[in-house]
Amino acid sequence: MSQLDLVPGFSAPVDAAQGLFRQLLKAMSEPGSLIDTTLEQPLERLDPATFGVCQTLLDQTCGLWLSPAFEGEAIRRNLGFHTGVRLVGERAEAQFALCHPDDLHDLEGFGRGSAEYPESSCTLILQVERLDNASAAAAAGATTLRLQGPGIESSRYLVVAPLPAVLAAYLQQRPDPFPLGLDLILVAGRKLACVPRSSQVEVI
Amino acid sequence: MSSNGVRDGYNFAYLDEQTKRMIRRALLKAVALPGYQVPFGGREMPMPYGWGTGGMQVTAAVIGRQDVLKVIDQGADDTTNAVSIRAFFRDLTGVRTTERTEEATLIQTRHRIPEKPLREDQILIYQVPIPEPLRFIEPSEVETRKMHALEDYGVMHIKLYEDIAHYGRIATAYAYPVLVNGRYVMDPSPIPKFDNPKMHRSPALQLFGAGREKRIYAVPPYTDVRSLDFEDYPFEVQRWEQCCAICGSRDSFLDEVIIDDRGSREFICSDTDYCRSRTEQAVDNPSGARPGTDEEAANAEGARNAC
Ligand SMILES: [Zn+2]
Repeated sequence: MSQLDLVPGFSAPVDAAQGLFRQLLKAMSEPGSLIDTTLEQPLERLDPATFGVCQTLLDQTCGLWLSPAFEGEAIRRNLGFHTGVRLVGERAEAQFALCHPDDLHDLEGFGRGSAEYPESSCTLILQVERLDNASAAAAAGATTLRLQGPGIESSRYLVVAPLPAVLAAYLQQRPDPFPLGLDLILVAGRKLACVPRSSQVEVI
Repeated sequence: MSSNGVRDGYNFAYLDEQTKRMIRRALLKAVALPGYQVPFGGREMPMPYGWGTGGMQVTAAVIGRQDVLKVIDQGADDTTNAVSIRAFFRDLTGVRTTERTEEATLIQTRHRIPEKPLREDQILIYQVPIPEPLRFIEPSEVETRKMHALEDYGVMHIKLYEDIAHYGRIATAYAYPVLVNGRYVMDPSPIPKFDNPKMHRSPALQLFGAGREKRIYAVPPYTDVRSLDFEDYPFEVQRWEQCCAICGSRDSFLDEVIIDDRGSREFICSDTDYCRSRTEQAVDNPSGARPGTDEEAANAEGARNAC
């Protein structure tokens, strides 16, 4: 692979990773909050926020499952170069899964953690087309979520376009009883929002 | 010192990026699992356990150049422990430090929660000596893990009830166990139980770091934190007959201090910033003219007489 195929990573890696982590920490502890990362560098089909989250959280100690839509030499090589992450073929081996909505027909295999070690569950990073506050007019194909629970004073609304049906059902029904479950990082363009397993979710 | 404010030869905030990432991943799991203790690994801080290394590891993983850091030990900004931790992060991050609760974005604390109510986007980082609230009942980690998994917290209530049988009240005054989000029993670290109600639905994010046992846990903002109790023996906080001898506060946690070599005693606020800001307010408004602070100013003015 030539140098030309590499996209630039964070220009000031220590500060950029810290800054984006703080935004992720806010997003995960205040579920549904919409954060503008102000990042601008995409990695092929990965949006700037998606590429930034990968650089911030992933390294050689993590297994990453890639949606078929993101399979390809450029993404594979750049993620390897910038993070050192191991790509895994089996969903069950993944600490993180980078998902495209079109590929998410089921959630089988992603680790939900165990009652003794609930933190061993998989974190889904789902790249969608748009994330908005509820105040934004919900476009066709968008799903409005009403969130309640820890990190939310009363309730918070988040518009996700598109939200795969299987995930909408999972979030509403929570088939894995807490503390088991999947934590969700949603990314679109420069924006991100989180829905941890502790949130009660209603599709409205 | 290099141009970016960090001592030469050191990474920003001391820890290497790999260790920070491990702690950061653990923190994201911790906020998704309120009150659950997440194990973490990575490099140690260059201080012995007991000096708040767990809190320092958490602070090092979250702190950035925009932050304003406050460090307190038992409520005071000027103890050896607080001064050295503050100097450590000033040296290794170049960030601004403060003693004022309302100016701080990060507050690392040993054994107190500030008296001034915290707000959204502030992060309170607790130094934790023993993270496992069930440890004194069950020494085995395998067993305590099972107890948390099964929500088997009966022994905790038995322990508190033994207190009642023995002392006629719940004697536990520090590290008083809480139930977080209706699910996990959590050790709030050795804060006085006086501070427990401040944890309940706080707008600030609360993070806990235990260095020796390498555990991180968290309480997100607006999360239910209930102190364990019984219907006939409800949870109660400490109260004092006295008010603070310096600022006159009747609402803050008071320390008893010996003021002369004859052993005379006074009670003063444990939260030094709170006490000083009340005294300054009283000096700024000697007549108590500012609306809404009349009573406080008058209290402060006449504190020594009133107590
Ligand atoms: Zn005082």
